[in-house]
Amino acid sequence: CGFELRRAPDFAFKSILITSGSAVSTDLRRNLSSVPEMQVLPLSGRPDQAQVILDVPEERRERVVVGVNASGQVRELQLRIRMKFKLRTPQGKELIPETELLQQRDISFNETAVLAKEAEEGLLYRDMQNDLVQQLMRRLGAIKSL
Amino acid sequence: QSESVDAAGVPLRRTPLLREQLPAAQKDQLPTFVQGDRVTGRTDFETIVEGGAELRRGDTVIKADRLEYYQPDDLAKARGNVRINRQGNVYRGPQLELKVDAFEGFFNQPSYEFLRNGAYGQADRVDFIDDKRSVVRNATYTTCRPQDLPGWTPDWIMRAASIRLDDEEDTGTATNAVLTFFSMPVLPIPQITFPLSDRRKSGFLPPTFGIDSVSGFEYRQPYYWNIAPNRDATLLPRVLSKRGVELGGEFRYLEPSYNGQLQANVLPGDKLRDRLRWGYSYRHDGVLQETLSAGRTALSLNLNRVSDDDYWRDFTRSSASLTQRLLPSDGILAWARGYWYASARALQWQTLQDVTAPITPPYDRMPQLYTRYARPDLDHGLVASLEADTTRFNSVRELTLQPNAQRSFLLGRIERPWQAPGWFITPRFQVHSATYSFDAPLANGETAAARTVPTFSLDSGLVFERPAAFFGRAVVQTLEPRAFYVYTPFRDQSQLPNYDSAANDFNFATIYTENPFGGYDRIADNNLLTLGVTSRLIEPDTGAELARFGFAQRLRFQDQLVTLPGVAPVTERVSDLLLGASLNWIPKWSLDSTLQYNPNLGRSERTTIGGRYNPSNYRLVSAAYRLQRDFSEQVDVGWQWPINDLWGDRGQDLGPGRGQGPNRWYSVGRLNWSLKDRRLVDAVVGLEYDACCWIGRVVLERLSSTVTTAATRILFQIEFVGFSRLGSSVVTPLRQNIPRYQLLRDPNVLQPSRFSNYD
Amino acid sequence: EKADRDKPMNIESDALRYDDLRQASVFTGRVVLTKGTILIRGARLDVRQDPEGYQYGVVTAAPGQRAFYRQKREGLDEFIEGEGEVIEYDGKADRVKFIRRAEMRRYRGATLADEMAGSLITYENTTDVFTVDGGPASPTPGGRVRAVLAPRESASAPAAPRTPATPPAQLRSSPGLRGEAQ
Repeated sequence: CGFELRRAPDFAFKSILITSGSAVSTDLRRNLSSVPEMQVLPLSGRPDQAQVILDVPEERRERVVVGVNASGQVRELQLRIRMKFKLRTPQGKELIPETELLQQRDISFNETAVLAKEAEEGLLYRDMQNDLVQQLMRRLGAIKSL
Repeated sequence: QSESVDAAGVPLRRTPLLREQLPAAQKDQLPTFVQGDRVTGRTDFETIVEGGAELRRGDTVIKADRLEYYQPDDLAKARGNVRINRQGNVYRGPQLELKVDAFEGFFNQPSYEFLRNGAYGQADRVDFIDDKRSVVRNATYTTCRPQDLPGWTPDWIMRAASIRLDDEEDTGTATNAVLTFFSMPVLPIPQITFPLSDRRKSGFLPPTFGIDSVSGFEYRQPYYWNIAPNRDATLLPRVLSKRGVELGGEFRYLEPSYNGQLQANVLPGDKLRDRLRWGYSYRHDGVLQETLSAGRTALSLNLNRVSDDDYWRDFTRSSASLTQRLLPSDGILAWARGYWYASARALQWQTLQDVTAPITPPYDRMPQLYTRYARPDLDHGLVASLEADTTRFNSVRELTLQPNAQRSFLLGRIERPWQAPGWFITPRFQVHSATYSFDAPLANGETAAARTVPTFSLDSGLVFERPAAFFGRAVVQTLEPRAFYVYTPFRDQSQLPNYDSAANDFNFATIYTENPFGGYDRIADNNLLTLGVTSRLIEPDTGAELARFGFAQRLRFQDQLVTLPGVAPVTERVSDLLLGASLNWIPKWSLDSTLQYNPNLGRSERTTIGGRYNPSNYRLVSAAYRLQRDFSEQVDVGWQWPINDLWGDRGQDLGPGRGQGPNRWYSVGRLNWSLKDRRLVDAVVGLEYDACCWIGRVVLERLSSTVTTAATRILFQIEFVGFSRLGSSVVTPLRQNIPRYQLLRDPNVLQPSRFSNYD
Repeated sequence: EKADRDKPMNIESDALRYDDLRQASVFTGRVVLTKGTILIRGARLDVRQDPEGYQYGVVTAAPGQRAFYRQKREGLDEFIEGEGEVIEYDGKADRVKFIRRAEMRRYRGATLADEMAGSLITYENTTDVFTVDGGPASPTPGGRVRAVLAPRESASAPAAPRTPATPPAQLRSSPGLRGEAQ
């Protein structure tokens, strides 16, 4: 029925500089360095050495109460990672305009189990982070030409 | 500069030459361009231009019938419908004298219009002091656009003996001014300063007032104190008619290596409970030291404390902690270097008890010492890590019915991930061994216990892709089957008290993990295989995820005997079915849901369904239903919608942060029901009227404080666009509670560029 | 400058014709007139002398071209240059007129200082007064007079090498300080 194993996307660039040290950017840098003949510059790399530059002007983790019961006990939380990214060439040509990505997960809550919920929140944030990295890898792979 | 191609394929390039602000050094280098029907003069001495005279230098343009310009003292004299456009601000009048560069001089009977907020007015005279300051004598100031209706008067106008405009401080100071709103004097004020932009400036912020069922009439007069560019404070004195005078405050500091914020309030002799009420919340994050050799040491504090158990009820929405009845006081000192990480942490909870809804207080970690040595890059692709932790658990024994204890554990983990774009397989082996020493003997008389549990897991998955088309739209469809096997032998933990474990939610992140319990006090005996498939539809040329469907289920090969205290062992061989779907097919709609369906009982254990319809700016409806079987059932609805749509008036699309044109009503709100208590728990309903130059807001807020009682509050506010906000800070509850709420006038929307009003 | 008055005037041209009736000599063909620091170029030059010995010159340019005039200013290292389809020089009043598509430029040393354009420019050398009139024959669009005046002498003296104009670093509290809903 037409399905075949996914192949590594053939990137239109051979070197990239990610100008942010945020959690998702670090994960993306590690993922990109596993791509054959892709040179990933370190955070302190010089822009003119990279074919493309990925800026992450904003990456925020949000934690919002979305469910409280009548006696003020929190029952539902929503965790979000909101990030903005844009891709350009060192000469300033905009390849991907500034785009906002948002991942959100609901998590139940009760005051007595707050210690365990703290660990579970870490699990969910990592899961959202992986999703964001996969989505960014696809977006970078979708670039046809510089 | 960057280049984008416009519709006709002509590459447009941004140029840095059009500078918004001319640097001072360049300013006196600029030539003066003069135009007119006739020019006479003596070189380097004077130039007289007659007939449609125009003088242009840098960001200043002067037009008049007759213009004399004396180069030696750079003085321009203009007569006859004079018009100055300086950085977009326009002044018009019959006669002007001005030193162009120093921008010092006077202007008779001017009328003026400011680019930044569209404010305009007339005056007897404007004295330009320098290029940043000017004083307008006997002036009027309003932002209501004139309409050519007979007898039209602006909705609000401020008349003042003098207004001192200061661009450097970004403020206007009016002396013995009167603000009339529909010809009703609202603010006869000897002196008032109003912000020309949102830069920080010490001074009184507009007062706020409201009526509250608990506190009676409330009047708050905030004072903002801009101590230093990186330090500021806000004092919030508040008069509550039924309770007394409260003094609140917020202090913030920002240094290169650390920053922090302290919020506190105190209400002596609160008539509501006849005692002193206080509360504080302090947050600090800082890097103590960071060098390549010695690694990075960071300290972060998050301290919250209040005076009594009813604080959350009587001071709604003012506690900084998200969980209003559980206040953490947490201090973490962390050190990291290369593969090593270590932290010392002290965590204490203040639980606000309520006799009608008691909370079993969670355990304090006083202290917790933790270290981790992680090697993600061993040879043969191995990844290994070793964690050690020792924690002293304290709590109120009478409520937890468990002894306090000191628990230490070691967790060793090693795995070998094989990863490729199309598949992955990760065998992992870990050993967790813990020792406990209890303050008091357990039921079986032991005062110490130990437990070692090995776990083996194998995670594997494939990723298939194919181009497909749905509803006539080309997409890339993926099919991602995944299998996760985990084996953990049984270790009796029924006698062990539970300090930091609880059942994780059943969702796509936790279903592929070794232990169904968070924390380390319960490690379940597992011999189960989790199978799941996820399918995503992806937009080929942007990689955006349009839709995602997934299901997963666990096949259990033997019973799970390890459970939380008081819970029966898990015997079903086939676990609940986990279903998940999220749709972002068209940008306007989005839907997100996960369902944990229990086939034996034929009902769902955990359901979250959330939808959002957001067709344009200022039009949004979002709703969510969240169920935890026999525990909580919540419905949450939020909306912002123009009421004018009802009678077909769609308004204009002016982009985010600018409203939708004049005379529009907007209904705004957020309702949160707890179906279990069959009550509306948290309601914020508001009405906003945008009259282009002022915005009226009325918000009704109802917060339940017990199963039977609730506090209702009415807040109202008039915001004079471009002048100031009067009335309670109504906007903060709206912004915090209504997802994606958009301000009708958003200050940090891009300010108009001076080139948008160019002569 | 004033010293030009008693400097000899010499003229080169392709041909010379003396018109006795009007007591004027007419030079035609790539005419170049120099008199002290004054330099005039044009296609045709009519020079006439009045009884007191003042000379009057009318220079007309070739069709589609413009005549050129240049003179040093009194006591300053500055030059005045002017162009126009017809240039009239009045020795007695020491006045120069540039007629139709007139432009006048003033150079401070080598750098261009002021610049005027209009349909008629008259420049009084002795009093340094110039008048520029607009009209259809002006090179600028819409027949208006256009002048560009250099920044004032004192301001433009490059006291110290100008550092590149970088905007001063403004320390502003980052919006993040407000803190998101934690």
